[in-house]
Amino acid sequence: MAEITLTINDKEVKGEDGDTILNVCQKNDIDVPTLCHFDGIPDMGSCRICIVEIEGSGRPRISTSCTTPATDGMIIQTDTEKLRGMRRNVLEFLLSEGNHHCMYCAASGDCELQDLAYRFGIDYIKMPVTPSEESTHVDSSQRYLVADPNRCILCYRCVRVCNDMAGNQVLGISNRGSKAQIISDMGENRGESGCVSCGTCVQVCPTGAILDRRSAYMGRKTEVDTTKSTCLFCSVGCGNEIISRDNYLIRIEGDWDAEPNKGLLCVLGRFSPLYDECRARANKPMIRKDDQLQKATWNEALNAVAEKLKFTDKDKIGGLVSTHATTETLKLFAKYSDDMGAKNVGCIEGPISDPPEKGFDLSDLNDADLYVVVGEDLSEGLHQVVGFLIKRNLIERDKRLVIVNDEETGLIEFADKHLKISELDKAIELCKDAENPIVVYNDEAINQVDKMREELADNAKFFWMPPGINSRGALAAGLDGEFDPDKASCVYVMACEAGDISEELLSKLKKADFVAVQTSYMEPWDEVADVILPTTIWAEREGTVINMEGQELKVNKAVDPPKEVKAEADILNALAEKIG
Amino acid sequence: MPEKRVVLKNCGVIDPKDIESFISNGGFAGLKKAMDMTPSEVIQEIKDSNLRGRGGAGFPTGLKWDFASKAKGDEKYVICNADEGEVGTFKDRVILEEDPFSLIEAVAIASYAIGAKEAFIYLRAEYHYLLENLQNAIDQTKDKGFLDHVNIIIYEGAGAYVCGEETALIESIEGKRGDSRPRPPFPPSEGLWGKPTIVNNVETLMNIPRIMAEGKEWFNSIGTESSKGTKVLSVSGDVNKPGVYEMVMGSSLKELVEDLAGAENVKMVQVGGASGRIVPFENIDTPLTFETVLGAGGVLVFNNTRDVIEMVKKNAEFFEEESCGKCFPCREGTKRMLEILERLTEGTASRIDLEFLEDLSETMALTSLCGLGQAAPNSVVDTMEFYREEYESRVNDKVKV
Repeated sequence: MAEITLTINDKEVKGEDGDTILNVCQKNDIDVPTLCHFDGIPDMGSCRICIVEIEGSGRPRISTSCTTPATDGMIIQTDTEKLRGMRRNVLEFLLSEGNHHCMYCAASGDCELQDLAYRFGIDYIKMPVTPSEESTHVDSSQRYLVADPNRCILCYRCVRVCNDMAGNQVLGISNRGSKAQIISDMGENRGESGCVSCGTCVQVCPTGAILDRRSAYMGRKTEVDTTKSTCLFCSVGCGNEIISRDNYLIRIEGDWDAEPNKGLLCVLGRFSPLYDECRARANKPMIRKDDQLQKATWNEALNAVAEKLKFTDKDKIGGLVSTHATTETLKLFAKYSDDMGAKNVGCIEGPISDPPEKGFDLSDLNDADLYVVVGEDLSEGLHQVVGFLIKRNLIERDKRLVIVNDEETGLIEFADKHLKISELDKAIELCKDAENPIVVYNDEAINQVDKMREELADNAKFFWMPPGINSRGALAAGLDGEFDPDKASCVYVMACEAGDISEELLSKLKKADFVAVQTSYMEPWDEVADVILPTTIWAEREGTVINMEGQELKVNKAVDPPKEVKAEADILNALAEKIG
Repeated sequence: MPEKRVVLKNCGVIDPKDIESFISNGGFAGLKKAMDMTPSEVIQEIKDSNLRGRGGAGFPTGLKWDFASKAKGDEKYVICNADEGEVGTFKDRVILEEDPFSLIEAVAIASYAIGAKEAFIYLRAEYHYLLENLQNAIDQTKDKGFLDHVNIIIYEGAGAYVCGEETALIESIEGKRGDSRPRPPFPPSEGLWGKPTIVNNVETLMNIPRIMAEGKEWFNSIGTESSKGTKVLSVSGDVNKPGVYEMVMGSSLKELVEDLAGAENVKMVQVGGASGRIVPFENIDTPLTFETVLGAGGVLVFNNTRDVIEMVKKNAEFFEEESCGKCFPCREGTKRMLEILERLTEGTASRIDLEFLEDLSETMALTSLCGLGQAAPNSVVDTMEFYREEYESRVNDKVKV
């Protein structure tokens, strides 16, 4: 990149070719006020707050710094009396057009419009405050958020993230001019629209127009703790920020600095853990006595487990792990199983196939021209963020999506073609014609993809969607085998948060002589466990995981666990000590 | 300086449904000549002719083509802006109706010059009745073998004024909501689907076949130093003979309005439609050039019986309705401007309203994203300059601030 030199506010500063004027200002600590701009999403220059004066022949030209490319030799003023006056006018327009009564708004203190109003000393508005008649309907039809158009300033941030970043194409604008309004689909209530609850709009809203239901009024940004971590609900490994206050979890946000999600999260990572997880927490060790789980001390519980493991034939010992666990914990589990000579060990999701590609880069999705999704439904359940990364590319004219699946999937409405598994040859032909095809597949489609891999050789990239969360961590720990419940009479389960367990497995575990479960929640283990060892949840965990790309990502503790809850590794170590 | 028919040469002369009548009147001479030249020679010819865009901004056409031609990429597009939405402007309608072949010829030359394989004619929704006429002209031209190098597609607008702005027009063709884009990037470097694109007004393009056929020297001999050629103007309002007139650049407004259109007791003339500038009667000798007043060519004449504030309010109503709402100064500014003008006509405006009207006009003109918001206050600013007393007399000093 070539270096360029500009004169901003009479000072010479450096920038790079390709920077906007705003980029250069930010790099050089020159404070330019912004409103519709948001780092990481495409600029559109609608608010006109970041205007600057650019000298040229004749009168200085006024331009938005966020959209104007910086060029060598530019002479710029960012803070003249004239600019301040015009910014103030624009702010007055905004404050007069809607319901911006800060006292009654959850965003007060975190609101960018309010900040600017203070900054420009607006204590009087020259025009009558008249909220538009059309925008009075507060939309509370969505489970996780409330949208209040009266507080909306139409900065389009939510529209931009919904369309350009998450690729969902739900939010848009209806009407024109001062009647313009953000709508979902063709004007449906958000709860009845195609909204997939990724929640990115909540995170970018500069005012109180879109609010997270749960965390509204629970604390301003300056009053809460923010912990950067990694989402532990699928193998994309999205970077997140866990927001807490006084050891209480408030909200989860996407981390804009994190690869591969760059701020995006899906409903499973952003909302479900705090809204939808309603199982009772396992917060005390328990032992089954007289067919009832009863409270015990850690010593009693660990002794009971150690005793069983010590005196059971090693061929009869079974180990079952959840990939919610960190790589370190999985490795520790594998080590202790080996030490005991237990072979019947596997993951809750079943055996993990070990694909030939040891890793890949999700950002390559932006360069592909054809996406072939085999077996996987990226519109719900796991890996939704991969679905977003594909969908947002489909806006471009020459990019296509092909679904190979016998079932209907939610991505079909975005797809060019929907093929049956038996029509795999057609998909292969399409890949051959494409310049840069990417095949996204899961373990169910492993055989089909083997065939594609053979025929396409190096002409396509293959992205494996692991069945669990830290599946690559389990592979690294050597835990890719299958657990056979029929051969085990004494089973040790490291369940973490795992709760979606098949009836079949549960009924088989019920028949085993002894089942010890190290778990965060009582359900569904309270039916089968002889001993419950309470352990941490995602926000209390520390360590690393390996995501689908093969990247090692850091998981950080945001809150302390309840008093009697222990970390996974501490439990395993204590148990190992007792067994000797 | 009199009327001169350059752009309207064939209007009313040929049969717009029959290509043979067009050819026998010298049609396709320009295209044939262009095809014998290299694309860069064509661009040079247009550059040397000093033709400037007739859509209002007056940007040198050859330079625009040159940018697009030199921009990287194999895919390039030509767009003919036939979204004539400016108030009181109806010259393109006459051209489309009476001489569609010249326009097709021009699009073919432009596409050849910049290397576009696809070209669009963005037709105003209200001109739907011209669609058949235009499509027929394309089909006949294609049958004659003149369109082997380019596919011309007619794209119909949906009735938004702002889509006459080139970036909003591009968004509309892409199938999106017609909102303006920030510039730069300008369309010649990043336009339709991010590819180099030239957007030219109907009238601009109509000059191209003439220049190619008659030569740059001929074109340079018409008009003034910096405004070459002619300008087609549509005159309406308080005149005896409203209609479309083609004048040599530099002709005076008086010639057009009084001598040709037969206006009497003129109070003021608005040149360039609702977004145009106001010329009071005392300045009626103003020559029509890019440097003075021109716009897209809509000329609205108001006689002594007209009320200035009422007329400005009508303009404000139009812009309030047509603002796309994307940028804040235009979205709210157009609304507030209308409110103040309404208060003035009702007699409930305070003195502060006048100050605010001036301040607001400046903010809109300087900070709006596209031409719509930048030009919306034009009539307010001009009338406040020339007819200040009419504003002052409407202020009600009893209104509490």
